Amino acid sequence: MKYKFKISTLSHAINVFLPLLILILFGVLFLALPKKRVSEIEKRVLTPLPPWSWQSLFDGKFTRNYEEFFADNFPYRDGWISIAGNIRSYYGYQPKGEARIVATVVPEFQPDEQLVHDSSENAMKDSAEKPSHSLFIYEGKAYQIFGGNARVAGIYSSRINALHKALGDSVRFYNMVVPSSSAFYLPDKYSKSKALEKSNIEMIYQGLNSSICSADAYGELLKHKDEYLYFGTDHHWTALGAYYAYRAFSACADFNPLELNSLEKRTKKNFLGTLYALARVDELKENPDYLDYYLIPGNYSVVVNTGSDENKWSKGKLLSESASGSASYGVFLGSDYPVMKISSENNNGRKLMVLKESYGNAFVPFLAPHFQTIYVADIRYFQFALLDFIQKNQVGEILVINGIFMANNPYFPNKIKSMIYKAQTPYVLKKKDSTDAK
Amino acid sequence: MVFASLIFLYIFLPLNLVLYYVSGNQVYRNVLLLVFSLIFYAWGEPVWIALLILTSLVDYLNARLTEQARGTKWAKAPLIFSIVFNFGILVAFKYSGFIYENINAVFGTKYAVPSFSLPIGISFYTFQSISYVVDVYRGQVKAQKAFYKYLLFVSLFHQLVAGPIVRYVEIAREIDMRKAGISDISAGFSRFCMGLFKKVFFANTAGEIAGRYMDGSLDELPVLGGWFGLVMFSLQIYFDFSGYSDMAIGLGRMIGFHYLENFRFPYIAKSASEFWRRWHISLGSFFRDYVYIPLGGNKKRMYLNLLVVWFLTGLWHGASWNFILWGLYFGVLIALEKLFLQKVLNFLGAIAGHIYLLTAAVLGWVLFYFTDFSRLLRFVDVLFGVRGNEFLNVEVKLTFFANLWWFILAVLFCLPIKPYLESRLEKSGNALKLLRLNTEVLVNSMMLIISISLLVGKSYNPFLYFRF
Repeated sequence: MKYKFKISTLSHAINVFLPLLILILFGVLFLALPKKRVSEIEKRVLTPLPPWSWQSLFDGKFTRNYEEFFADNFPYRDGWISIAGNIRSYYGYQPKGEARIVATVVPEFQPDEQLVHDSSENAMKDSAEKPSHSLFIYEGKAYQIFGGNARVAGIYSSRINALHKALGDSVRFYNMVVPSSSAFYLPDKYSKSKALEKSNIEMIYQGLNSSICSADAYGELLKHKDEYLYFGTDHHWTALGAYYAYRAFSACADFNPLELNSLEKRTKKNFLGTLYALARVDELKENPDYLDYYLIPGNYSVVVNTGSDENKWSKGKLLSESASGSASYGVFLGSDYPVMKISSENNNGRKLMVLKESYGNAFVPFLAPHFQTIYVADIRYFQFALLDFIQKNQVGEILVINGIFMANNPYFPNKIKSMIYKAQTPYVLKKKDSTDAK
Repeated sequence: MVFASLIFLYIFLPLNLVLYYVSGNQVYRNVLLLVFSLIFYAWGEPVWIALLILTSLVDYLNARLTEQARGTKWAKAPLIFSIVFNFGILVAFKYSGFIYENINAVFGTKYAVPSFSLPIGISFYTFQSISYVVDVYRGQVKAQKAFYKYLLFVSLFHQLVAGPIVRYVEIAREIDMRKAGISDISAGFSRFCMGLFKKVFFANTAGEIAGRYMDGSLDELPVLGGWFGLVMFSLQIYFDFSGYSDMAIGLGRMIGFHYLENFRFPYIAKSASEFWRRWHISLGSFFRDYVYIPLGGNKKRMYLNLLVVWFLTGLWHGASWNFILWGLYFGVLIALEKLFLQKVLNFLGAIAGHIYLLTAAVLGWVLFYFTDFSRLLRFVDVLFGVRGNEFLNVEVKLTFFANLWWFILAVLFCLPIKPYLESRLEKSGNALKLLRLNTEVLVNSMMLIISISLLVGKSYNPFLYFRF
């Protein structure tokens, strides 16, 4: 009897001390291990140790950030995350030959600054019914599902029109909306992407002022759909896809496009991009992408501006060949700089401004030889007063280029509007609550 | 702070337990618990902790005064003051915005709607305080003489922020005298792991899937997608809430507190009345003992009493009409059951009862979920095919299959399988009991590891649109 009592006590003790030791161990490891600054695969800065102040304690910021800091720097975080991924893969089963849904909500662009609150945008804000963006894995490639948002698309057109109007007829205006890979490759039974993307782009273009030239990227890509136009593990398009869109654009902007076979091609192997980071499934890992890029003939002087001083430029690159691995798409233009200036040896006097997000990066290098100067502004990060900037630099042509998801995301039309009305002097966008209080 | 967070699991809890058990001195332990509880609360609510301490002080004094005034003509004064005070605070913080909105809507006025942040746990601790003063008034328990012990009762982090609504009378003795042997601590850990697992493995997943269908565009939502989302929400709310109660009960067990059960497999009920005897028991019994029975219970004006109780039950869940509707919905079902429905169900048999209750409970969650009425109605339209949405699409189908094993497990966890196995084992020999213990160790470790990795995995947040 006594013996048995001891054994059950031992079991109880194990039941208590095993979990307790695990908890203590990782708690201590957390305190002891060095902290990382960035997460490569997530492409984001990890939450740092929040600075202490009574103020931040009382408004709850300190504790909230501390919890994020703790989670972001949890000991062996990557290992735990991949265990979590494995656990999730056992939640159900995969019918043969069917696409697989993995990460079902693709995070939208999350601006690191909030837009200035504007009551006229409230109408747009209650479009809280976000189209659900599911990620399908089909035949080793990941696809984002386009839900479409006709209302936002309409607003997108009207914002482009507003910008066009603000600039006046002296600036030639181009627009291009780029379809996603689902528009060409995902079978109809999984989504209506094909029909939806086509009609969405048509709707946007029809909504534009007649003097805005819209470039038919969709039509040109469709002609070449059997080629490698989109990545399977990343949400961007390949340089080849961008090249065909560039040909479509040449009809608008009136230049003779470079011939593909005249360009030297280089390749980055084993590219596992953003959609792999999101889904982290083996089907994608076993089908890595490769990333081709084309050397553009000629000499270019490239400078970038990342701050708030319009006169402070530092050196940049058209192609940043050192980019590799999961960051390979960074080959194109290097990064998403707020504004970049590309000067060529072509003295035709043409000055173009490109308003883009990352979809534009693969596209812009091809334009370099055809313009004397190109300003490439990232819609998300551009800091200066746009109209002012255009006037000051005597920009004569402007291209707004967006991926279809971005054109249908209220953030972008909103941002374009706020760029139009932006005050002359650069200022830091205020947080919503501080402007509301006034 | 919440239990299912890394900081609680890895810093707060181990530190609390180790410091608790380094000394056997009861005063030390109570003070330590109090300090930890206040830190726990202040972590999420650094400002309103003042309110918590203030209300505790008021009710502590009220209870003492109630004892002093017993037998005099002032006997009821402290009690009434306490009830008015607690409800006043609850109304001011939780319902003032709601009241203003309704006044504005009815009278067309434009009063600025006050926007307080709702102090965490206020609905729970005001109810605990009221029950304490009432119980002292009724002579069911002696008033606590030491303020710090009373404050400990109110602020004890186990149950402070999300229940169960522990009554003072249940743990009065254990504040001064409690023992926890290794088997108690072990039982506490098992219970805690189970609760954590329910929250992280079941509730979070269910919530993610539910949100996908219930928060998205209702125009594109297939009929079965609506039902799937709704069933997922039914699972989410059960696992979330009962998991939290499990963790609270487990934490209590680890140091010798015995809180009453708060959930007893509600989805196996066969009627709405039974459902509420199994769902959030501490709330149901609060309204029974402090509202329904004092109003006259079944004896006088029963239907009016039901109306009042279920109106309040709904309102307690949130300052919005949909919660009131949800409460009244159950009130109506229970009234119908008392009138005739129970007899019909008894006649039809157990299976009919299960089908009736499950349908009623799941549909009830529609009222609970949507605070926006137009969306609520549109969602109901989708559910019953009124809007002509497609019946099923491939995405819903694939999502269902992709979570099928998880779903089956979730349904099994809604059934009282563990109690059944335990009662079978009670009758068997010691060898089997030992096997059971060892299995428990194994299962707990697995649940803990899975929960941790899913919790860490939640922080995995890749950016598609990035800039370094």
